[in-house]
Amino acid sequence: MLFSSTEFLFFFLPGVIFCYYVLCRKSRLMQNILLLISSLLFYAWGEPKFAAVMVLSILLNWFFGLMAERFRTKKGVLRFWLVAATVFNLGLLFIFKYLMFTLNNVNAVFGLNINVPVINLPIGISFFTFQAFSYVLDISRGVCEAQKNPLYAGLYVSFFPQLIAGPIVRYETIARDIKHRKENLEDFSLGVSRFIVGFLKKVLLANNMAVIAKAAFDSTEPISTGMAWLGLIAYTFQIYYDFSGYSDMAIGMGKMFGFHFLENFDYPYVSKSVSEFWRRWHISLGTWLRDYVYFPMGGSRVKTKSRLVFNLFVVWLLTGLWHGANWTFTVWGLMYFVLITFEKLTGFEQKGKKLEPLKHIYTMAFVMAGWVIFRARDLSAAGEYFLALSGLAGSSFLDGEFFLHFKQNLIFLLACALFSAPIISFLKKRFTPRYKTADVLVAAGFIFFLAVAVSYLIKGTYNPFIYFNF
Amino acid sequence: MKVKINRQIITAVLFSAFIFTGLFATCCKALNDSERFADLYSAYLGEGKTFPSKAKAAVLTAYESLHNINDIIAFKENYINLFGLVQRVNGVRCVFEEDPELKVVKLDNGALTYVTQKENDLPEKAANVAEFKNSLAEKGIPLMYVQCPFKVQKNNPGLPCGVSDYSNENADNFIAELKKRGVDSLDLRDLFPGEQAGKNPAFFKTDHHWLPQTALLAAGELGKKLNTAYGFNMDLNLLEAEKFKTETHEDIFLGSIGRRVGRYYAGTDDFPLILPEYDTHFSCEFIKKDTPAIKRTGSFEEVWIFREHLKKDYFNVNSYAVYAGGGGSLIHCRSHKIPGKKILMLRDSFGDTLGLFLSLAAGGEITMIDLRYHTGSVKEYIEEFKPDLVLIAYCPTAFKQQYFFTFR
Repeated sequence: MLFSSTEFLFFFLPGVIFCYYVLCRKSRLMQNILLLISSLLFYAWGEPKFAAVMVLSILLNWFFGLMAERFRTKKGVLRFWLVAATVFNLGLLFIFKYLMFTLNNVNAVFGLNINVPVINLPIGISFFTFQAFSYVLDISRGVCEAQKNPLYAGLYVSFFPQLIAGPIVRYETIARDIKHRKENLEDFSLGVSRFIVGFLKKVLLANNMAVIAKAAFDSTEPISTGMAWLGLIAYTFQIYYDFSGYSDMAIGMGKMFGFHFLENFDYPYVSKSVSEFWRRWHISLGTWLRDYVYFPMGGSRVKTKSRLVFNLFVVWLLTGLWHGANWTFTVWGLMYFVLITFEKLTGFEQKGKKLEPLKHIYTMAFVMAGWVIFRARDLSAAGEYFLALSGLAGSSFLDGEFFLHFKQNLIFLLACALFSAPIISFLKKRFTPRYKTADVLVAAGFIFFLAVAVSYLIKGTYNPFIYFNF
Repeated sequence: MKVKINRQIITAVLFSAFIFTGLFATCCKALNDSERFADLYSAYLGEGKTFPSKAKAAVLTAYESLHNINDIIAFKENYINLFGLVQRVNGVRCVFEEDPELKVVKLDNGALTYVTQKENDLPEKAANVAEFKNSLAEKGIPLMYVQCPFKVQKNNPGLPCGVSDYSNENADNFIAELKKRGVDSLDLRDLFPGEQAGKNPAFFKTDHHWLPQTALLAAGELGKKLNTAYGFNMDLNLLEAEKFKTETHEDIFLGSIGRRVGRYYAGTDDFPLILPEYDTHFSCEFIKKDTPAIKRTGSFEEVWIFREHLKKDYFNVNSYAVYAGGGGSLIHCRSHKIPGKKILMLRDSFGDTLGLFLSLAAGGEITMIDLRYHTGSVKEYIEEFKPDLVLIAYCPTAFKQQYFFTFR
């Protein structure tokens, strides 16, 4: 089930809110069971059989967590259970996500004819696997205590707001919330506003941008240079508003039920270096890889530069692969390896304070180049797209399709550009409404735009789910 | 504890009202439409009588209903109207949909249309028609293809910049392919000049179909061709416009394209009901899939007109179905006033109105078959009906469907 769907908005969400706050309000246990069952139902909605994969992952990681806690002081035994957890989690990910890719490449490189099984990717497997795995790792390090109740461990992994598109929540972040959260009107209200913001970002901004991006990237005819640029700008906005919109909805719904997730996006497109961009983009993934891969390898506190470069290489290769089993994602990850290595070795971030506009342009140029590789079907399609962008593809500079999409989406493009900077918090600081009427008007405006967004869903406009690869 | 009312709290209250109203109203609507669920449940249950099979059927019914919740959601029409209004304010002329085939385009004259893609298998489809024609020729039955027009005109498409439509190119190519194979055709597309200039509109503004008066004009043109090339002896005066009276039902119709974008995007259509002013007497049988056949005898109006579709219910009533009840898989009609030949017309929905106006002058018997819905064999029907002529009358959107060109 998608958040940006009418069955979620008009059935699932009100149903869960009603049961949670009315039927189960007197028992935390019942509330947690309700959230767990709802989460499993939410997950099973599209592909019921994959719910079994997730339940298996929950049960085994819960068990690994118990073992990790029990043998925390016995290094040898602990290592055994950690190896088992690693083999299980990475094995699960490998089988469902990378086996086909690996076999296809083995066949291509060695001229073999190994039968490649068709394996469908369980939705959100990268998110819930990373989340479950970090739970075991945190217990082994003594960061948190193991959860004795498998239902609660299950709730942590499968809680529907963050299940299929993140953020990747650490157990320590919500461990207390699971049993001792205190729901209140303020949190609920803030959560609702946050959910609406995310919903509008996804349905009104990301989906409209997706139409342009699809027309440009999936065109079977050569596209003009202008259309290529418009498609790239649209995709740059689409992926940001889609992903951050989902995170907003997740954080908002978490708040509605008393959970407090950490932020996942912080206006990444205002960054003045690629390193800064990654501190602002998909923060939960960046910190996950930092804490569980980069730091354990020594991070930047290593004796030689070559070791630092190696550590960065591993992290960015994994970042690329996490996003999907395709060479495009690998090259995309490695592009960031090169850029971040360059920035780290040259101290780029500390230099040229007066050249910030240029640094911003440099950052966005590479971020957008990265999105071309990320969005393209394969590397050769990415190459063709770069040619179209450069005007060397032999097609016209501008065409009717460019004008059609540009004119029809001008308002959305402007809104995307405007809201990709922290304009709202800037305005909030300067213009705090003094009168209740203003509050009512703003609230009514929110609901009006929500109704408009719902009208897009009911109409059946393009509503892609871009995390199928993740 | 005193609660300080702020913007977030007001938003939360309104949001809760919004989603719970949606839930409640949709449930009420679903209860009123319980037949739909009963049908679905019965289909899933099949022959099963045990508790597990009933439970399974109930779960699957609930699952499918929720999956298709957009079909039953409360206030659906209001949402679609709101959507259309937003598109209008935003100056959108091409409304993209999940299914690219269904994108709605506003022409320069304000009318709505779908656009069609280039079809690459037209030679194969033309070959099917030619093969069919040859099999009929063995029985001495001639065949002619009638090309009905499309809203996007050949010489003055009126499309917004950046939108392409291949309906006319497809039609040109198909007619050329038929010609190569010796199949006669009548191209009705050039009959309607001035459409884009806004004069003498030939089509409904919010629907893809032609207006009844356009179909009448087309029937006259077809009659001319049948008289000259196929030995018919029709009195074409019977198809002259002055022999008809027009009842205009104002602001009553939101066509199939209009229903996709709401009435605030393109407005609504008047429905001109055109009826002959001379005496007529027909017997007709209308066969629709999964419903009992309808038999009618009487005047043109009593037989061909289904007035229940002349109702101002934009999203639930298709006024085009006033003529011939919206078609169906097979319509057979006999004229008791005018003796004539037997015509079999394989047609899409454009053919409904074309065929019924043609029947006024052609007399005799006419059978109209829609291959989308017809489950029987056309060839066997021909053996039984023994027509004097077979017509195939399609608008250019038919080219994307193989079943229109499969003559079993």
